[in-house]
Amino acid sequence: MATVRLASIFSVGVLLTGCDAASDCPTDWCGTIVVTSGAEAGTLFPPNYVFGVELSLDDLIFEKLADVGPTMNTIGDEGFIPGLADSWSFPDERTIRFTIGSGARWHDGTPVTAQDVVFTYDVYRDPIVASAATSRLRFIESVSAVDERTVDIAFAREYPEMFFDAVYHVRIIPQHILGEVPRESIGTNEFARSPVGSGPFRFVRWNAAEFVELAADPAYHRGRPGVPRIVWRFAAGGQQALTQLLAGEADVLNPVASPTDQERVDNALEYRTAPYPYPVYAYIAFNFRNPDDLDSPHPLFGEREVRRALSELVDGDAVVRAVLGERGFQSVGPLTSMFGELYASFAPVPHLADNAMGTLRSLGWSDSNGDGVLDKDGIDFEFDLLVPNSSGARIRSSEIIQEQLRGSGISMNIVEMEFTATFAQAKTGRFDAVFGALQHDPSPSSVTDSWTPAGFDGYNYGHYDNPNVVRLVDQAQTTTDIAEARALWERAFQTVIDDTPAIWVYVPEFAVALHTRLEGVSIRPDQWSATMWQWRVDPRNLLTRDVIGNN
Amino acid sequence: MARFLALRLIHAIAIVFLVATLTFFLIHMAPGDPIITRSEAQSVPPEVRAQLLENFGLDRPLAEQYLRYLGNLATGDLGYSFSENRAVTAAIMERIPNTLILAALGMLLAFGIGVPVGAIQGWRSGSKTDNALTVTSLVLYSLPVFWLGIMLQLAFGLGLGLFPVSGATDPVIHDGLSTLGRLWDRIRHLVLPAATLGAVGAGALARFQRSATLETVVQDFIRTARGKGLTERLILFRHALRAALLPSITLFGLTFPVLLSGAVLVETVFSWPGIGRLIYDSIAARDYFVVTGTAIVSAIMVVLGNLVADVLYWVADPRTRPAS
Repeated sequence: MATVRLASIFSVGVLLTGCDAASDCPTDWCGTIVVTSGAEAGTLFPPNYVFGVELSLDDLIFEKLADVGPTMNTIGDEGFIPGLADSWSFPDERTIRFTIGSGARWHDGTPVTAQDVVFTYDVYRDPIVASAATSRLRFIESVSAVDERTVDIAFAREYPEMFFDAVYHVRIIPQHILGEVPRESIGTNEFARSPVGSGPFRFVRWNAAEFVELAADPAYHRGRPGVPRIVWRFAAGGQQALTQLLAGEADVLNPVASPTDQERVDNALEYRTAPYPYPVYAYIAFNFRNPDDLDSPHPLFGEREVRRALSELVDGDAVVRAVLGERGFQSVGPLTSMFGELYASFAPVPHLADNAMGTLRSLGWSDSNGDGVLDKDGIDFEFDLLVPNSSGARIRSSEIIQEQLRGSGISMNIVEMEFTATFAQAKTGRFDAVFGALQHDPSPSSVTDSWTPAGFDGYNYGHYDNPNVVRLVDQAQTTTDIAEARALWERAFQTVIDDTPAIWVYVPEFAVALHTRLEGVSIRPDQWSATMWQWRVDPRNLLTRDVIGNN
Repeated sequence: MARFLALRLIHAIAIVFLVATLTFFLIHMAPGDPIITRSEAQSVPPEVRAQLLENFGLDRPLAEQYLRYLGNLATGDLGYSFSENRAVTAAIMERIPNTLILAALGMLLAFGIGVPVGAIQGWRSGSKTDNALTVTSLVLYSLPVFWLGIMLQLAFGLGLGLFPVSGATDPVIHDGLSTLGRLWDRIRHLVLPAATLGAVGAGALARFQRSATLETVVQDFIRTARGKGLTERLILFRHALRAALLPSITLFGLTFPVLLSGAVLVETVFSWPGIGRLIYDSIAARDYFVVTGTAIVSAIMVVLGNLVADVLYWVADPRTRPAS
C-alpha cells in the first residue's frame, strides 16, 4: 500500500490533472491503445515495407482491396473479407473486378478512385521502386479502371491463388499525392514518414526512436474504429519492450517469444497473453556445397543418407521440451499449422538413433582412431553451425543438439555470430550449416523462396535443388483444379522433407501480451494486428492515459 | 590565443576527417550490407536487391563511394539513412538534444557528487568515512553501466513504480499536460538514465579526486594556511580543492567521450531516443552513412569537450593560458 501511495505521488496524472488511475469517459468513445515493439519502423511507404511493425502500421493506415479471412484460405476467393473493395466478381476466368466502397476517402478528404488502384499496382510492379512484393504480382497482365469505382485486374493465366496474389501484398496508395513523384525517389519521398492513407486510422506524427501516433477516422467506410487513438512505441529491443509493458507504459506487445517472458506477463495483474500459432519454423540448414570449393558437393552433407541420419540422431522432442516447454512443437518440415489440412498430413522426423548409427556405419563412418569422433577416409565427422546470437532459443537448441550429436561421435562446433553477420556469411556459401528461422505467408508458394533455386539469393542458403520439387510447385501453382493443387503441394512438401535439406527443429507458439482492459481482441496468425482497428477499451476500466490527450 | 584556436581548429578538422575515413571503411568491411539486413526480414528477389543497391549507390566501387561521400561531406551532406528513409542530418539533429541533455545531466551528477566525495576522502584519508566512501565509489566504478541501468529500472520503475522505465516523455499524455506538467514529465523520464550515467561517473571521479587531494594536502601552501589559523573547512574548499581540481578539470574533456559511449548503453537500456541508440541501431542495420555520420558528430562533441576542458583549466590555473 505504501508503495502504491509513493508511486501516486510521482505520477504526472495525479500531480497535474487531479485524475486518479481510472477516469470516466466524457464521451461514448474513449481509449488509447499503446502498442510497444522492440524495433522501429523504417518506412511507412507500403511497397517498400520490410519489417512486421511497418506492415502492422501500414494495415492501420492503408487498405488492401480485400484480405484473407479467419479461415486463412488462399485458394480461390472463399473466406476473403472486403477491404477497400466492397465486392468483387469474375467477368472471365482470368479477370477479377473489384468495386471500391462508396464511402472510401483518403485521410485528406479526397475520394478513393479506381485510378488510385491502377496507379498503386503500377508502382508496385515498377522495377525501380524495388518492392519485394513484385514477384507475387508477376502473373498480373493488366490493371485497368472500368469506371470511377470499378477496377479490373487481369491475369496472364488462371490459377488457384490468383485472388490471393491480387490482394494480399498490395495496400492502395494515393495517386493525387504520389502521381507526380519521380519513381526513382518515390520510396524516399517524405510520404514514407508522413503517409496519407484511406484506412481506419490516419497518421498524426512520428517521433523517431519514440513512437508513431495514429488517430481514428470516425468516418471510415467500414465502420468507426474501436478506439480514438493508437500510439505505437518503439523500444530499443524485445526485452526493453517487455519492461515497458510490465511497467504499465504499454498495452500490447507482440511477439512475446520465450516461455519465461510469457509467464512474466501472465503473472502480471493487469496483463494476459493470447497465444497463437506463429507461422515460423526453425531449422538447421545443411550446405550442399563445399565451403572451400563451391562447385563441388559438401564432403559431409552431399549425401542424403547422411543428412537423414543426422536428423534421426536429434531428439527433437527433447529439444523442444527443454527450450520451449509447452509453448512450441517439433517442426515437421518447412511449413506450420497455418497451412491447415496440408500441415496435418505430416509428422516430425522420428528420433531413431540406432537406425541412424547403422546408416552411418553402412556408409563407412566409424571411430577408427578411438578419439570419440566418427571418421571416414581420414576425415572427421565435424562441422560448424552458424547461430545468430540474437536468438536465445536457437542458441539453447544448438547446445542441446550439440550434446546429442557428441554422444554419437559427431562433433558440431557452434559459431555464434551477430544476426546480420550470420546470414551474410551464409549467403557467401562459406559455411557448413546455419540455424535459420523462417516466417511464411499463408500461401504454400512461399516454399519457393527457401527450398527451390529461386531462393538461391534469398533464404535457400544451402543451395538445395531438387528439380522434382520445382516441377511439383510449378504444377501446384498453375493447375485450376483445387483438389489437385492440394495434392501437388503435399507431394512437393513431402519431397523436400524426404530430401532432408535441414533438420526441422521447432515451431514456437508465440503470444501477444495484452492489457486486460482491451476488448474484442482476435489474433490472425499471419498478421497478428490485422483486426486491431476494431479492438476496444473497456469503458468501465479506463486509465488516465485513456482520457488525457484524447479529448 | 588566435593562433592556438586556429591550431585547434586544424586539429579538429583532421580528427573528423580521420574518424570519417576510418568509420567509413570499417563499417563497409563488416559482414553484410543494408540490403542483406533488410532481406532477412522478408524474401527480397535478386533483381529487387540489385535495384536497391543501385538506388542507394551501393553497387559502385568502394573507392568511388568513399570519394562521393567525402564530396558530399564537404557540403555538409552526411548522406541518406537506409533504415530511417531520410537524410542522416535530419536523423541526427532530432536525436542530439536528447543525448546532450542526458550526457550533461549525467556529467553534472558525476562531478557534483564525485568531486566533493573524493575531496572529503582525500582530506580525511584513513578515516572511517574515507573507508566507507572508498568501498562505495569502488563499487559504483566497477558496476557495468547497463547492469546498473537495468537494476534501477527494476527497482524504481517496475518495483516501486516511481519513475518511467523508458523514453524521453510519455507519448500518450505529454501533449495533454500543462507546461509545468510537461516539464515534470521530462524530468521524471530523465531521472533513471541520468542517475545511471552519473553514478558510474561519480564513482570514477571520486577515486580520481581522492588521489589528487591526497597529493595536495601535503603541499607547503596547505601547511602555510594551517599556520595562518584558517579553519579546516576553509582550507579544504578554498585552497586544497581548488588546487586538486585541476586534474579533474582535465578529466572533464576526457569524461565526455566516456559518457557518450556510456550513453549508447544507457540509451539502449532505457529506450532513450538519442544518438547512442541511433549508433546502436545503425550498426545492426549496417546503415553506413548513419554510422559514419554519428561517428563524425561524436568526434566533434569530443573535440568540443576537450576545448571546454582547456578553457576551464585556464580559468582554474591562469599560468596555463597560451600567450596572447
